[in-house]
Amino acid sequence: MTDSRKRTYITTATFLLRGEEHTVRAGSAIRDALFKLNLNPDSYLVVRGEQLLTDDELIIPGEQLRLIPVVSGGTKPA
Amino acid sequence: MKCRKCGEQAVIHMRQHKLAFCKTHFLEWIPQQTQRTIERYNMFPEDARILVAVSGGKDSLALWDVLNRLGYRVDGLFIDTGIDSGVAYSQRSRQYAQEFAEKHDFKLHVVDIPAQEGAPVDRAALITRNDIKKTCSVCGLTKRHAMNHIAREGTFDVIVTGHNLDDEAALLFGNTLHWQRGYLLRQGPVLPATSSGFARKAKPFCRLYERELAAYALLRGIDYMQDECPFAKGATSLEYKATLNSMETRKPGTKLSFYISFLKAKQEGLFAQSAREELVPFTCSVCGQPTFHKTSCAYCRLWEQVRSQYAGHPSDPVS
Repeated sequence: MTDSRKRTYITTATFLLRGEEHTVRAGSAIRDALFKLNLNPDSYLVVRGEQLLTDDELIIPGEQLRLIPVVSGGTKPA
Repeated sequence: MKCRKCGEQAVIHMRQHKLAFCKTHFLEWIPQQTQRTIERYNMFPEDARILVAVSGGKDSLALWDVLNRLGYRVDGLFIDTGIDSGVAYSQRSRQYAQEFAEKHDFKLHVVDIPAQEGAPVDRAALITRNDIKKTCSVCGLTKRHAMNHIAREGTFDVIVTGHNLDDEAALLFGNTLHWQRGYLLRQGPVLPATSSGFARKAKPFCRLYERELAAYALLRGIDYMQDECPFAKGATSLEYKATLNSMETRKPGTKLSFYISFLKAKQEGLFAQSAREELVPFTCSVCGQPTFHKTSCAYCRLWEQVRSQYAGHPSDPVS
């Protein structure tokens, strides 16, 4: 007799940036995940719920982290 | 990562300082650093009457908050430029500034450009420069004039703006790239008042990273306008910021070092004033502000042209 029940493992999480979801690998550090998305860690804050995170934090499977862009301004250099 | 001071979970890591803080200690650190900057550059005394130019964005609202926490007497100034661009940009920005002021019982002065001059700044750019892409220069000219006008009334000793280190480094990058000697000469944490009528200006956040100020605003619960001005899209300064951030990531502290080394070089006399820059300005025959034009200033000439050519309603958006 074989066990038909299959175990599923969540191996990804999502970054939410300007209303768009980006899939990232769970278990990796936030900083590495940002690099993989071609996003500069110095240009974003990362928030879990209400908690601001440092970019060495590991991403938890299935979670959604919010990315807040920090760069503003657009006046011409003068 | 742990807080350097208490060992609790850190919320921010500042690589350029090799420093991480928890929420409590980071929210103490920002005002401390701001106060140190104010003192380091002799920006203003404790009893100064300060006017902070607010845009509704994170930096200026954070500055208002920090200066208030430090015990300064600060009013806010919002300049409504009337930019709509289909997203009610100025209206929404004004709302953020007003709500912040109301929440903290701060006094906010509002200058409404369309109501005062007859058109929004993007309309003015279209009329006078024949190019809506020139809105940034018209907006800058208009804001500088409005700030100076209020300062000249004598109620305030200094105007402060929320320019952060990233703004200053990007400005410096652009000015250096094009060897804008005049601009390099003027760039700095403080612009002194002149006897001819230019107001004193200071940038208390000039040594703080943009990322730190966004974190401060978030942790203090400051609700700010996150959308960029529609005319900022593709702005050169944003490209410079991206370039500098890329360098910063590879070598933390690059932006700070770039700016601080520049200030030091300037102090040591790297840039000398030319005869043109030593000229004494004239007085504008319309508004009385200083100008290097013999009759009226650039602001008065520009808006005079707008009024003579535009017959629409002041708040009509530019399509």
